[in-house]
Amino acid sequence: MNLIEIDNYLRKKELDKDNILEILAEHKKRAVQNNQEDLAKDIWCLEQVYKVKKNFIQAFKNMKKQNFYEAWILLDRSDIELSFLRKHFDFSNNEYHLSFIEEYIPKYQKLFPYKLFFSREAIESDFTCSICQKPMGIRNHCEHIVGEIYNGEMCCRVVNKIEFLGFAIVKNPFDKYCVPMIQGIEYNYEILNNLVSVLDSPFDEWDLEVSEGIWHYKNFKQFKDAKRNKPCPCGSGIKFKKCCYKKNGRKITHYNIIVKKSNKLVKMKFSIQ
Amino acid sequence: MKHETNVNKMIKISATDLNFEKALNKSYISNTLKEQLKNSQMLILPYENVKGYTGPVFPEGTMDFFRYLESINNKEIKIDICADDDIYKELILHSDLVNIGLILVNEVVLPIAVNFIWYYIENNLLNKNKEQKVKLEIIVEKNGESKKISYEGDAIVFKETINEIIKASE
Repeated sequence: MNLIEIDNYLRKKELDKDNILEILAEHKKRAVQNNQEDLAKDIWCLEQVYKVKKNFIQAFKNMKKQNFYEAWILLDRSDIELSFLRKHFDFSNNEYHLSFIEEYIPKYQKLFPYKLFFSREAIESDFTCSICQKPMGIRNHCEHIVGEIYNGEMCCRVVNKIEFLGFAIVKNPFDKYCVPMIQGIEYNYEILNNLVSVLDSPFDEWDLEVSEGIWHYKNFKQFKDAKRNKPCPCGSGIKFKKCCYKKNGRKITHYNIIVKKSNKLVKMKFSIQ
Repeated sequence: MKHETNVNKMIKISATDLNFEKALNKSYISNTLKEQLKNSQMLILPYENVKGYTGPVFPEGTMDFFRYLESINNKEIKIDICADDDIYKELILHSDLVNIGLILVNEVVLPIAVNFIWYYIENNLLNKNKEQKVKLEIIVEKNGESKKISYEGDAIVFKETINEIIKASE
């Protein structure tokens, strides 16, 4: 495939070829050999577009298969790759569907039940430049700038020494890979599961409204004849007095999701305590 | 040192005995470095005794911050950092709250220093995330006496908030 063919391919909503990065690497190698720095940078942008989009599509496919943690990691990866690309490429007109992906990654993330994360604390020192491998000190350093593109590669700071200090449990770390998996406790993916069941494509549009409220079982007709020592009407299998009766008056989050299908709107409502 | 914050804007002004003279007489500053730093008007300081680590450490991203300041400073003021290559280390928290650090400023150049910090926020943080939250401490020295302005909250209102504080204290 030549670069025009790859560019057209990356504008599609389905990326089914697995060798795009290898092909782009070959094009980039030739561009660098011919001292075509600008072309090498353009090819790097195409590589990033592929990574952002492929990870987003794969995340959606994993949600469809109920592999939610894998989907979570892929969404985060897509977001990180997009953050590298942002300063080098203007996609405000939704080129390659990137504005859509930028908007929908946090929308999907909001529906995951992960609210706390592990974040490492460490001391880093002894840095080198990923482009020229020279030491990157606070005073003596090469001319390369972290985040800029040189010969089709993004300059990164390589950390050669890490002293581990500890872990913290936080709500919103920069990267959200470390999700606590507590033995014997399952996360509830009901909202996501219901949403993706009515979506056909990762590029289907939907809207989300989140609001807070107080839950009262008396507001639901199935609780009208509930008895304290009988099974809870919610279907949990445990006694009403030990289930929803106890939860009365608790704060809940309402999620209203509207899926925009081509010929109709599908509305879904969820409440999570 | 915190990982995250949910405050929109928090300003605290407190007294401190840290000034340029004390900062340059720290045990980790070599004589050569001291000589280099002696005329500084804006100086990035390390934290000490953070999370059980006794040595001087700078918040994550300080290297990028310092290089950015050097790139925009057209010899208007003398900017430096209290470290050489041998002792420079960063504390990594991978947090969403960006800690810009502890900055000692001579009162004469405070408006320029605030502008420079704002350019960094605008061009390196807000361009990626309009809702970015930041934390920083500016120690302002005037005739050997210092006060510390601590800011924590939305990056987007940093400049106007600090400028209001400066105006009010004039």
